[in-house]
Amino acid sequence: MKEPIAGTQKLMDFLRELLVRSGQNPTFRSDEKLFLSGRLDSLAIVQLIDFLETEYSVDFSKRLLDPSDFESADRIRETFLT
Amino acid sequence: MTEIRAPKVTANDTHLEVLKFLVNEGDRVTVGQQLLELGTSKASFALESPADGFVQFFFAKGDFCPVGEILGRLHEKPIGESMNRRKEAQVRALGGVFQQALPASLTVQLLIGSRMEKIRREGKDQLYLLATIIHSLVQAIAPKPRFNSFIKEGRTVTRDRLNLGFALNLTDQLNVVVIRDVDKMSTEYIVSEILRKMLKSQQGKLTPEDVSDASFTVTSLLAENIFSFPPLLSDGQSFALGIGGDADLPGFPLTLTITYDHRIFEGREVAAVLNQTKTDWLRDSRE
Repeated sequence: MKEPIAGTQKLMDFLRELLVRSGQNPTFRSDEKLFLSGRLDSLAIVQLIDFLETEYSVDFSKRLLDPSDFESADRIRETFLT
Repeated sequence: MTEIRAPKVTANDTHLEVLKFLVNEGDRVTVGQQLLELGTSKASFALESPADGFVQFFFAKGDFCPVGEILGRLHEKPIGESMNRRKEAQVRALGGVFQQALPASLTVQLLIGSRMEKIRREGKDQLYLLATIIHSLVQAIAPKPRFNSFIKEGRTVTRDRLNLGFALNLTDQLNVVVIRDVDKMSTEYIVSEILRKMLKSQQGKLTPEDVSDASFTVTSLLAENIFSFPPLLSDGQSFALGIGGDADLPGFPLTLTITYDHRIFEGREVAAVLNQTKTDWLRDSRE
């Protein structure tokens, strides 16, 4: 697993938690497509959005919610946290 | 008795839209009298009565009538019944009570295995699959106002906006969230709006606006691997779509079941919508 960039440790922890909640092995690569592989689903996206709003103050109110923006930890960071 | 048929007007138009009735059902009309206004893809025209008689129509304003199909009939004697009264008699004959919905169900089946693989390859999941099906259904019903109608106190009411109700079961409580003007949305936008409502549901922030005035409801039990089920009809709606399927069976069969209010629809109208939804979805999701 790649070292998470500063300030995104919470994101990595939360993705691990989502994997555990859905009965998956919590180990993943930051570029792994968690939805494409079927490890996470739409419900997990909703939980991720809720998490990003709360923890990182990301404003989703005027944004098209595109599941592909949540496909991997790297993509989430690039899209919402940089 | 004389039949009134939808004439062939242009080489390309296979259907004519019923734009306006120029006489009332049951009126005594004479040969050559203008009965109703019909629309082609390019223009509108008034259809004249082919004979004298008391007129009866089989299509409603906004319906699309296939060219050559019987639009109505001219009777020698007064028909005495409005469309609703005619339908009421049919409902009673079927053992129903006109004041209550008379639910009936129809199902079509399709194999989606290879298409589901394509959706997954594109990084999308089952929610996207549902949105593509909803999009195809909406395109099929949008030109048919009857699919946005319901019966209230014995009268047919038609909504101005086509609003999707989507059944969510994220918590202990089942919510039907409403996405307004779904006929104006792309598949991607439908996905986004469903996610947004799921978020509000999870956060306990759904407002009355978020859960009211659905034209129809879509329920999916795909995630539960339920092959087929008749969805329940809600108050103020005339039909509901149930999406089922079994990913463990060869080819991943998927079923689309519509429960409809027989006081409003004939089975063949619903069958036509189901088959159009199926055909359009198969075409649009082709690899």
